[in-house]
Formats: sequence, C-alpha cells, structure tokens
Amino acid sequence: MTRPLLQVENLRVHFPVGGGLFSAPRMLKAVDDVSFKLAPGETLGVVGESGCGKSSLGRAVLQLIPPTAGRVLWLGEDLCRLDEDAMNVKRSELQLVFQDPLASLNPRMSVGAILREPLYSFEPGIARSEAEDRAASMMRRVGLRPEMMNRYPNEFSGGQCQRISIARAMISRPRLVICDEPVSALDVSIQAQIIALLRELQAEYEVSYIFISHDLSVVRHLCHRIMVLYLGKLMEIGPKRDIFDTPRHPYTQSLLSAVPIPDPRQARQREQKLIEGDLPSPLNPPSGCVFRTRCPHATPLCIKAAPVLEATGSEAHQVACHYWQDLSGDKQTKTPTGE
Amino acid sequence: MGFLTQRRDRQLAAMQAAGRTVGRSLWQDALRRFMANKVAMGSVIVLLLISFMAIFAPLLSPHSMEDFYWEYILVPPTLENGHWFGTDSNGRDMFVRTFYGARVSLTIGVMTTAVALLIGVTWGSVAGFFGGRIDNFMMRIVDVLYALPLLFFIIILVTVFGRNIYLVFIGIGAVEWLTMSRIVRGQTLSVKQKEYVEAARAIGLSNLVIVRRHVVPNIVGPVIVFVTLLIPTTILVESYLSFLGLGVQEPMTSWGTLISQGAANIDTGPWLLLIPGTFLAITLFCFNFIGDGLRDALDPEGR
Repeated sequence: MTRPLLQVENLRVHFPVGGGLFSAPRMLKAVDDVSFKLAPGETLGVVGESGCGKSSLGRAVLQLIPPTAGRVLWLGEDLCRLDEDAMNVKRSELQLVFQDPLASLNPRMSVGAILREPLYSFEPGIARSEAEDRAASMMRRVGLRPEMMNRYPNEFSGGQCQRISIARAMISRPRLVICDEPVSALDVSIQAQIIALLRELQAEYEVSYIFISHDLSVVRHLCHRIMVLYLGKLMEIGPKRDIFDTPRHPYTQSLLSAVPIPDPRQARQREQKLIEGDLPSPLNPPSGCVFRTRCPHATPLCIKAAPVLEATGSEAHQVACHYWQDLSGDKQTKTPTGE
Repeated sequence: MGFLTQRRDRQLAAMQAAGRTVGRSLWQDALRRFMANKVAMGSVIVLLLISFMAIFAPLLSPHSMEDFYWEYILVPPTLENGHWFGTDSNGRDMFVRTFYGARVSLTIGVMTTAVALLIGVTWGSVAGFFGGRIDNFMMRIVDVLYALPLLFFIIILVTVFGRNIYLVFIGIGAVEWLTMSRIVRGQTLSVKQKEYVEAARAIGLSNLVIVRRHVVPNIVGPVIVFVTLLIPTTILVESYLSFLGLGVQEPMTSWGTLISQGAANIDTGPWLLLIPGTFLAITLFCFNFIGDGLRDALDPEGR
C-alpha cells in the first residue's frame, strides 16, 4: 500500500443519551474502536445494518461530529487537533454526498448558487464569472445542462438532485468524498447511472471514496475494499474479493447470504445463513463479542472476551472472531458471481 | 386572475420550447398560488385602499381633524354638509378622524410587528440553531417574560414615563416577539436537521452564515403567515389600550380611541361607534384572509 491518504486510529464516537440533573447520561457507542487506512484513489465500502454507526463514522472522519477518542490522520496530520478555521480550510479536500437527494439541497437556492457556494467559501475573492464558468463545466461533467443553472432543486428528479449534490462535492476538487448511502433513495436504473458517474469521476480526479451502504450488490460494483460494521465495532475488513469469496466472520456470511439472487433456481440451492433477532440496543451492547447474541456459533468464550482483529490468510483481510478458523472450514457461502 | 396565470403558463411553455430554461422558485410558485386565491387578493386590494385613504384622506379633506364646528355637533353621516361620516360630540369631522385613526392604528400594527419580527427571528433562530445550554437560557428568558401580563407592563411604563405613543410600540413589541421567537425556534430546530445544513458545514461556512443563508430563508414561510396574524393582533391590542385610556392621547386618535368615544356616545350618535368599528373589523378580516391565503400558498404540500 502506498502512503495512506487517510488513516483512522481507534476512532470512537460516543453520544450521551438522556441524563437529567441527577442522573448521569448513558453512553451510546455509535463507533467503537475502529481503525482503517485509505489509499489515494481507493474506494472503501462500509456496510452494516441501520444503526450500526456507518454514518457516524463518516461524519466523525469529516469532523462534523466531534470524535470522542482516537485519531483521524489526513496525510499524517491529525484532523481532531485542528481548530475550526484550520479545519474549514481542509474541508475543500474532504467532501460529503448524502442519502436524500432533495433534502441535501437548499430549496431556496438555485442550482447555480448551490454550486458556487463552495467556491466562494474555499476561494474567497474568486470572480463571479469564473465561479459561474466552473459551476457550468461541473454541471456538464455530471451530466446536467448548464442552462438549468437558474432552476431550483424542486424542479429536478431524485437522480438529477443527486448529480447536483455530487457536483457540489466535487467542485472544490476534493481528494476524499464520503458517500453516505448515495443511491439507496434512488430507482435501480438511476442507481446504476450514479454509480457509473462516481466511477468516472474517480478515474478523472483520482478521488478516494468511503462508500457507506447497506446494499452489498451496490458496494460490490464500486469498492476495492470492504469494511463490515456491527454495533459500532469493526467485524471484518478486507479486499472485495476476499470478503465476497471467503467471508470469515459469521455476520459477514449471513449478510452475504441475504443478498438477493436474480435466478430463483440458483437462489433455492443457496445455503441460507440468516441470523435471527433484532440488533441489540447500542445503549446496552452485549458483553464480549457484540455479535454473540445473534451468532449461531457463540460459546461461553464469546460472552467473556471481545475478539480482536486478526489477519487471516492475507494481511489485508482481517476479522474479529474467536472462531474464524473453525468456521472457515464450512462450505463457502455462495454469492452471485460476476460484476 | 385566471387568465393571468394562463398567460404566464403559455409564456413559460413558449420560453421552454425556445430552449430557454426558466427557473421557477418556490417563491414564484407560492406567488402564483396566492394570486389565484380570490379572497386573499380581494383582501389585499381592500387593505391597499384603506392604507391609501389613511395616507391621503387627511391631506385632501378640507377639514382638519382638530377643527371644532360648533354649529355641527353630533351630526349623523350625510352627503349634504361635507361631513360624510358625521361629526362627534365636539363637532369634529369624523371622516378625517377615522382615516387619521387608521394611520395611527396601521402604523402601530406594522411598526410593532416589525420590531417583534426583528427580535423574534434573531432570538429564536440563534436559540434553535445553537441548541443546548444557549437555547435553554434564551428560552427561559422568554418564559419569564411570557408570565408578565401585558396590561400590567404597560401601566408601569405609562406611570414611569408618562403617556406616549412610543411606549405603546415598545410595550406591545416587547410582548409580541415572544411568540415569534418560539415559532422561529421550532422551525429552526427542524431545519437544522436537514442535510443541506450539514452540507453547508462541510463546505466550511461559519455558523452565522449558515443561519443567515440556509436556516432563515427556509423558515420564512411560517413567519410570514404569523406576521399577517400579528399585525391585526397588535392593532387590536392598541385598540384596547386606547379604550382603557393607556394608548394615544387627544387630539391624536386611533381606531381604539374612536371606538371608546363612540361607545360613550352610543345613545346619541351610534355612527361614532359603527364607522371606526366597521373599519377595524374589515382590516382585521383582511389580514386574516391574507394570512390564510399565504399559509395555503406557502404550504409545500399544496404544490
């Protein structure tokens, strides 16, 4: 791996919940002790159920919510230690694309104004004509006609709004864009277009993505590496091929077996490893391994000790499970092949 | 109005066909819907007429509002002697006095609402946006002030500073901004959850810029509606303050003062009560209709 663009070390994001005058607030551990690296031009997929801390992770990396502990090293510099002004300067390099295309655009601003805003913010004193030119060329780049600059977000479709949102994130030429479920609110046909657009932009600008999603088939199309989160903890991380072909963690295995297969005959043959029950409350996570309450292989050891991340066959593929070696003897989960 | 909107639609279609794209913001959309509302548009016209009369009638009338016509005391409304609305018990011309009263009442309505708007929007949006302790502190101040009865507050002001029309501005304004700040705070709380506010933060905008550019424009809808309801409230409050003798002072007059004098003369000159009362009622109706129309027009669900 080349020098990492981003290196996250032991990141924790805890939110105080409740707590009154006389009672201490309880801590919601949205992200708990997560570490990973990201290379320039790489796409890291973050998957997990809703409420597992995917979005909190993304926002903590961008310092939009203050991390409780840990370090976020951007080209070796700890973003958590920067004051607000210094961080705001850095923000041109780290951008964000949201899930809800319409809610992420201010309904009272024209598309042109939305796209020019980052330029005025990051390059104070930029001439209006230059800002307009760059906004227009960015619109063309994401597949929108620049003549639509004077229109308002409510006149666009969801897919178009998402293109505007991507244009706003890209216009300051960031090196990292965190995509928080950017396609899950869109139709499948539109999803494919947006993913294709993200890919083209990556090739063109050499931007890295952290791609947050709960849809594994989407992640499969875009990501180089995948990270699986459960209750704020890192369960498994590794190259896409390893995660899809030889998932080591029982949680990853069950996630993969839940991916729909278009061919019903193939689908019937597949061994289902669905897990039961609901996500435990993150306010009161299980002791030891957080996944043990729903894990079919849990033993007393899992109640006592939390597993640490260990490398499997390759150094890049790491898993946090006491029994991954025993479990990997199982027949591999079949997943749809081909990209 | 119908043909106007039709024409505009045709223009839009023509422009779009010609390859030009016309942005239609939420505002233009709302304006179109408001214009289509006949009652609200009628109210706007009536209000404009009353305002026009309030400005020009006292200037153009041959009578002054302070002139006493001893030969015409308590004359009922007539077209014959030039006193179209009759005269009061001092022989003063009611036509001039009614529209002079309109001046004072409308000015108080608009001015105090402007004061309430300014303080209320600033206070409420800051409290709502920053949240936490700041919010708690600021809203507790509002709660305490809420507990203060308006009448009591004005009586204190009047006893300390003497009777003065500006005290009425201050007194009513000081109370009316409280509700405004609560409305604005509630709206701000919902707007600040929106992702575009987070996007604004991600491009490094400062909090004040975010409040000004992203929060306030998006809470304007409910605020405008509240303003159209606040103006008649303040006119009414001024009326009852004047009725109680705490408001404007002779020979200045307002609708409230006129109504109180009319009430005293209800046996001998019922028109003294009926005429200013009717104007007050019409004005209040108009503001309420406009408020309703704006609420419907600005409601995004109505699109």
